[in-house]
Amino acid sequence: MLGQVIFVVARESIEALLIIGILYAWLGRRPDAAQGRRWIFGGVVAGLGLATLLALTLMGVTTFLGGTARTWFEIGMLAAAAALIVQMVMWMRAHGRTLRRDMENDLSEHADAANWWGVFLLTAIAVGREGAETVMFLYGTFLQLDSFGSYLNFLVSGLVGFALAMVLFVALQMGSRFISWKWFFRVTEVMLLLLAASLFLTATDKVLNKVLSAWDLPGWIYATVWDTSALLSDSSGLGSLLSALFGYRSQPIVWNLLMFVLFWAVVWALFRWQKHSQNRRVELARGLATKGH
Amino acid sequence: MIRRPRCKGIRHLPSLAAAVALAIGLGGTPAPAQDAALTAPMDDPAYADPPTYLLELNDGELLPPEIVVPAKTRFRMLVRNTGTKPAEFESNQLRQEEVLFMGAEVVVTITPLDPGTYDYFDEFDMRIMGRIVAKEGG
Repeated sequence: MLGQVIFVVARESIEALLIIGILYAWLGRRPDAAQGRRWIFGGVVAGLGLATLLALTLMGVTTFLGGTARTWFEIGMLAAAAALIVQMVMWMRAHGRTLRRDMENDLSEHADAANWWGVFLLTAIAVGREGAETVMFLYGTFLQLDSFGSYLNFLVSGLVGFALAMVLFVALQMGSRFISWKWFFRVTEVMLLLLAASLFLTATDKVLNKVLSAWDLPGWIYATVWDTSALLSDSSGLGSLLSALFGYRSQPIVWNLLMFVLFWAVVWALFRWQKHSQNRRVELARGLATKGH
Repeated sequence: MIRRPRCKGIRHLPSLAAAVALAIGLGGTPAPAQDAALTAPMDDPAYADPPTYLLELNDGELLPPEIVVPAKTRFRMLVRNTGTKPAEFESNQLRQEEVLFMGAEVVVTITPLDPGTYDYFDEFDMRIMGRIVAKEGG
């Protein structure tokens, strides 16, 4: 079998499957699970379309995106994915604990319509972004094949790679069933936020390297903060997985650290604001209830 | 009785912290080959400013596997896929990722680097690890 095909397919699918796996498990707990899953499947299909389109531009078949436009498109996709994940976590926080009651009151119907689009978009971007590289890689490898045996080998290797990544998806579904809901919710919430931080860091790396690269910023912005590459290099298998999923960097510079702090400051502020407005709503409801009596 | 294992775990914490601190301290000053000669940038007026280094990806092979550059100076890399398969120029340490179809090339800018060693590789074929050595006072 083609080890390279297995490896690339597995690695490129894992990020999208982490996002989809958590959304899928989470929606499974809701009374409107069937509807939610339709939005996820829609997102996967749209994402595959996006991946194919992006792969075509990478192969130079079409140039509907020029160099600069593609840079901004990549930055936009990364930033949008990070923002959508944070929004999704906030949605989970708002409805996760009081699921039953909210659904009975139908209070959250309006917000949910918007969130289905969020689920759809997030899935589409997750599949499209990493999928583009996979499609290009598979197509390029496919062109080198010459015999029936090699085609078969290629197909089986691709499926094995995808099956390896699917282990994560299945583990998430089992986890949601066998671990207590509170813990599943907490763990996946942290995983999603770390992934969002990682996507945001990559987006800001591109801003630094491609948008701000024409100028020399103050030297301290480029200074290396620490170097743990001897301990766990982000060029190693485990290190690069940790860097993609959780934003690990073995040689970060001050810019990375600033962006990291900015991300968490914004998330913290949003969560605080959410809690505050929720408390106010509860108080308001209580006030109305006492008046009614 | 029940508390015992918990205490044991906590007792390990300081040593773990020390190990991490030691690793960071040691890792903070990697010893790059400071005696290595600087790599010559491309001799092409179109790629003169900032200096540009050519890197070819050829079915997993990296040509050259090591590039020595002056530290704290912005430079560019012209990455070209000369192989028969797609390639992905990747380096978390240089904050780069570029996918390249066969025959494709891309110019990337590397922001000023502190003295040290930075890995790069072909993410579609990770058998060989290349490195950039940023040399003080180059």
